[in-house]
Amino acid sequence: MSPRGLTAGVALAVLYLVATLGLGAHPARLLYDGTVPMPPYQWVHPPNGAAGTAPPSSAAGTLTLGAGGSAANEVSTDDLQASVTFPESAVAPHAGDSSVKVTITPVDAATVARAPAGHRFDSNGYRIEAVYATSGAPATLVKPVDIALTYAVHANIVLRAQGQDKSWTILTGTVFPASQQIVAHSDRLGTFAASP
Amino acid sequence: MRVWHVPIVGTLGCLALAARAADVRAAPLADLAVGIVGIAGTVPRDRGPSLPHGRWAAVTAIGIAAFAAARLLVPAHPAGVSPSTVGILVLLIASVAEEAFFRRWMYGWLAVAGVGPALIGSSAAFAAVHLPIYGLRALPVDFAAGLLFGWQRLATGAWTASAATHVAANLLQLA
Repeated sequence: MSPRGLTAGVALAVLYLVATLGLGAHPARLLYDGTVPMPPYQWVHPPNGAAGTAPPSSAAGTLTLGAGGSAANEVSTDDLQASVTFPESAVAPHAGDSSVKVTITPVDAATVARAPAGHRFDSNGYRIEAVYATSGAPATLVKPVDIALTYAVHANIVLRAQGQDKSWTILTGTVFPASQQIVAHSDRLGTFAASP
Repeated sequence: MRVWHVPIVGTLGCLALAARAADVRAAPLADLAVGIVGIAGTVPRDRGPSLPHGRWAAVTAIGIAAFAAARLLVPAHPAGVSPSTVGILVLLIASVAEEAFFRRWMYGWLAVAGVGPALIGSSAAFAAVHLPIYGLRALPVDFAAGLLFGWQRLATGAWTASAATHVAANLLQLA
């Protein structure tokens, strides 16, 4: 191999690294490649006809809090069925608090509220909460977060219920069929479920 | 040599790979089809100069080193599900099939027009077929990876170095 050829190869290797790392705070993959058959969806309460599986995972994570707000971070369940991505400064600073606790808890979406007319649930509900770690006060979102949910068969919207709400708000989402995921922006936390 | 079939086969191959997003369970059939085209399809000046094994190994090592470095620096993406053994095998076979199609067959035909069109064209097609599955965020990573694979094809005259690197990249991703 000529020195020029070697240099070209090393330069392209560096270019690849820059492209991979250049996606900023959002975690990237080494290669967005291929399709992998999905493992069975893990239900809190399997719907009729769905096989029983291991119970779904919950998650807990921490956002560090500075003068300008929270650092970017992502919290995902171990089974990767639900994740929430906080961009930089998504949570407002709070006097006396230096971090934010984020939890994701799977629930049976049907116990939160009935699905809107013409819709059904195709995932568990995931209750996503964030509180200031020291004071325990609910965290104040000042930027939208990304909610990513894996769905069992098909989904094209995300449903959101807040607090004691007994109804769902419909959020539009981007569907990634190969990984059976839907991602939606949300300006508030609450309970989320995927739906066709 | 008649070349009328090249754009048709190339387009159909890319459409088949892009359509994997619509039916994940049928995706291995698309991989198989483009793999057969990639390995068995006629390519002008298929064989490059005979290379010492050391050069093939060096070129492959540079590619794998790039992905290994990325593995160390990039946290795992949540879409990186934990696949079954069958899923891993499907992914690795797809890696080889894609390299045969893009780096042997497509690069081979585009190289008739020059190294530049071959490198850029095969890389752009490689990145484009993954857009329906992963969205625009995949574009810079896959295009840059395609250029690296294309350089391996250029440097060795064969597609096996990029195939080995592509397989290694996917194994690193699962690690």
